[in-house]
Amino acid sequence: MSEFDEPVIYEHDESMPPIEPGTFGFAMSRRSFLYGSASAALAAFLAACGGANNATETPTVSNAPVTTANAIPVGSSDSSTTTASAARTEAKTETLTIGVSSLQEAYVDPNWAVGGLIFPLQWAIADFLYFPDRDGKFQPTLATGYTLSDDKLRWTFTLRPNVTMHDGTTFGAKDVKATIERIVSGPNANDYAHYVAIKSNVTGANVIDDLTVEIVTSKPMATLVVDMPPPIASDYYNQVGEAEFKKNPKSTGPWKFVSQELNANVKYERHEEFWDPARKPNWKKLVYAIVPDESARVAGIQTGALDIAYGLTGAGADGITGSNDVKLVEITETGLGYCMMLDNVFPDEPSPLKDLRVRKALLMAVDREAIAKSLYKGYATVPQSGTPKITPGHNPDAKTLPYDPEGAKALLAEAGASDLELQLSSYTTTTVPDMPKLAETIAQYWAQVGVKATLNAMETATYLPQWRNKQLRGAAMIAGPTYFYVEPTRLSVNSFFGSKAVYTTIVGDAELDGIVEQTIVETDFDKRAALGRQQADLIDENLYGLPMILTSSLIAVGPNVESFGYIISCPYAGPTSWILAK
Amino acid sequence: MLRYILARLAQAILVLFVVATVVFALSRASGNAADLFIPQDATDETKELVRQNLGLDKPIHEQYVEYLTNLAQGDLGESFAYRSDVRGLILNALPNTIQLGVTAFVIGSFFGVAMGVLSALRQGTWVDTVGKALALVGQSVPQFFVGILLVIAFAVNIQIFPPFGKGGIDHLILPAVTLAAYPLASLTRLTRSAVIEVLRKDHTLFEQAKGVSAARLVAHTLRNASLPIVTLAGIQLGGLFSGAVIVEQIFAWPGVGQLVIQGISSRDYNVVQGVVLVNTMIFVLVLFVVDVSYGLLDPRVRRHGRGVATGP
Repeated sequence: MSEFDEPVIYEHDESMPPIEPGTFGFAMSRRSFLYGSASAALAAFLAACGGANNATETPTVSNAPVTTANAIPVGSSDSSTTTASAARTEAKTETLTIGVSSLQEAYVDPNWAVGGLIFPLQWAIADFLYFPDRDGKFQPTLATGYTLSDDKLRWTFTLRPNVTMHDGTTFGAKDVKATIERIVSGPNANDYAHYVAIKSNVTGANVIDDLTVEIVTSKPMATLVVDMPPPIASDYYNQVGEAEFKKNPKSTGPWKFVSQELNANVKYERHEEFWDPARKPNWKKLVYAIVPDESARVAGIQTGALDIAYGLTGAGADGITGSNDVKLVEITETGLGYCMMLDNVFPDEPSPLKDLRVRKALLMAVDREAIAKSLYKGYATVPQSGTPKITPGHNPDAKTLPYDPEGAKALLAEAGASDLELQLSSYTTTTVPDMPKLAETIAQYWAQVGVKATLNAMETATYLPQWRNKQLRGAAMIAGPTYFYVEPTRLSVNSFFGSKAVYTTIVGDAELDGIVEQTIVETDFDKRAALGRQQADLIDENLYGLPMILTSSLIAVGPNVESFGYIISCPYAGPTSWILAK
Repeated sequence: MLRYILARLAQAILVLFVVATVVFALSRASGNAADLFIPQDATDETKELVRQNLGLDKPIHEQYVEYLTNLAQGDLGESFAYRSDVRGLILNALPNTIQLGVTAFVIGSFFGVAMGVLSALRQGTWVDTVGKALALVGQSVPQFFVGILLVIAFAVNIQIFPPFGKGGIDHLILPAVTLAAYPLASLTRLTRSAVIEVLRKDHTLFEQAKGVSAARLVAHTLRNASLPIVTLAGIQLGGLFSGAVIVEQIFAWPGVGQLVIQGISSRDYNVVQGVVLVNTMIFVLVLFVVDVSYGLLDPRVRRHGRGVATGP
């Protein structure tokens, strides 16, 4: 019997065991049922009238480990084979419906799906050559290993045999080659940020034999394994063409696409010939239902219309914690809210924010613990570092500056910035909820040490272009999806720090830039982690961005779900092959 | 009558042109959508390529001429975010919005008119008081609040309707009632006052004196009170299609409202423009039908080829 069949279910009256990084299961939080809003009071009144009474909830946890074994880290040329485990026991539940706020996808093509919910969509329909385990370390999946040439320009992947694709063909090197070629030369490739590295560096894919494929890059590309797109069924693709494939994609994943109704739902059926019995879903149909309104998602989970609801806030969670049938899962540290010191972007413009003492003072002035407890109702923590724990090189012993308003005042006085005035810009994002309120709270704390901040809240569509075009000054909030930083260079190159940073080109720190340059081409995992540590230390020492809050993702789970796994810091349940239905 | 119809048609086309221009100007004034689609670490060359692909590298007047030309051919462009034909996206979502809007209209107008007539005929009684109170509530309580209350009451607690989504008739009831709440209340109030006014007219008193049946009296009264009711009902019907945005969000109804919300949040110019234009067309069409219906209801319009004052 597989370990999937033996989930540990903690009863409602048991206390909550600590959630270890990367473990799987339900982490329940006890929250007051009455949080004072008129709607909640009315809901309670109606509940009393309607009869369906919800008892007060106490924390529960279940664990169901779900992943392939024999981890090898990205960057190592060592290879290892994943052993398929025994099949799961079939569940009574035939269909699981997952409620999401948005998909924003015209197609659920595993290569071209972008935007709102790209990861769950890809994970449903496709498998990858390498896929992260619960600790975020990439494991061989459709690949069994790889070798890297001495010049670090040729990657030779050996592929898993006997993998049946959705079109009935057997997966092989030709499918990987076709996928790479589709990405590199595809008509829409320029529009997809996550393929930029592939497009820039990959010069070709060669079929060595049926189960061996060689990828050639123009320069060492340490992130190739992480960036590799999920293979598509190339025979079918060549037969139907690009347009038809996008409407009805086929790949190797545990779910086969059935239908999509735009802004309503995406439906899948189980891929009965899925190669890995240990990850083959134990239920037959999967539906992603698009439910934009949070209260409707809460209602959906309460009524059984949904089995899993993503993207809840603390307020939404309050409506669920009283239910016996619905569990609340808190996946911690999924969003990192920075307050960036943007004036460092402009070397020729004098600014008090270029003084490290001022930046330290601005961090010390804010009681982040109180913010986590009040604004985020406990579904957040204080970041001890500007580098999340999923990032190779993260320092687990890092200690952030304490809340010390008097110390902050002294530092500001020492720096001659006691009457500091600055703009604090913010925007709305689901990665870190309530960002404008967070900015407002920070400004209030700053006011207590004599810093006057002018708030400037904008919509995302207005904010990000201004950010990228360097039209903002002073301080500005930005949310980092921590799962994205599974690759250390993304923190520097794709995001915020270093002179190659996309959003801001925030600092011209030669030391930091040098480390990033080395990391980009360093393919040895241990060396990359060491470089990542140097990068993390520099980021923490210099405080170009003040790490303000680490928010959790809240997922409501209904009675038809026995357990699910998740990747550390990833805001989604699963992949869906890690979900067990009852 | 023909001149009347032609004049109304000309007005409708002018309105559509103005709306198309305003929508184009507003969407361009909000910034360059290409910035949202350019890869994070793209080169300048790539950025330029994306702008070219989206047609946003051209001068604004060229974009405008191209936009109007395409519009005349029924081409609403391609969605930047969905990477799909906007006309197809709208045609895909529109039937859902029409289904919801028409159902809400039927509920709102039937019960609104019925309640208004009943209130007028039972003026001063508890029936009238209840009718007025419901109308007040329906007009003053926000749509999203009505929707959430209905979900809590009928989906979560009593569990006789699903909380969201599109499916059978049962899926339609809660969103349609939510959407119908405001027009129902408005029509109740207007019908009540219009019927009371007609009931006070000499010809009605004469009919009553002649002893005509109550049913016939109601029919005659409603006919005479119908112009303001039809006007308001028409405006409400047009508004139901564009006003369904909030209801579609709450009930996860895959209509045009959801499409435009997604379009706005991702600054998808073409989708926003397309939806606004289609909504405008529907509104103009509905008002055109209302105008024409005056001719059927009021012989003075047929005779003189022009409208009469119809407002309450």
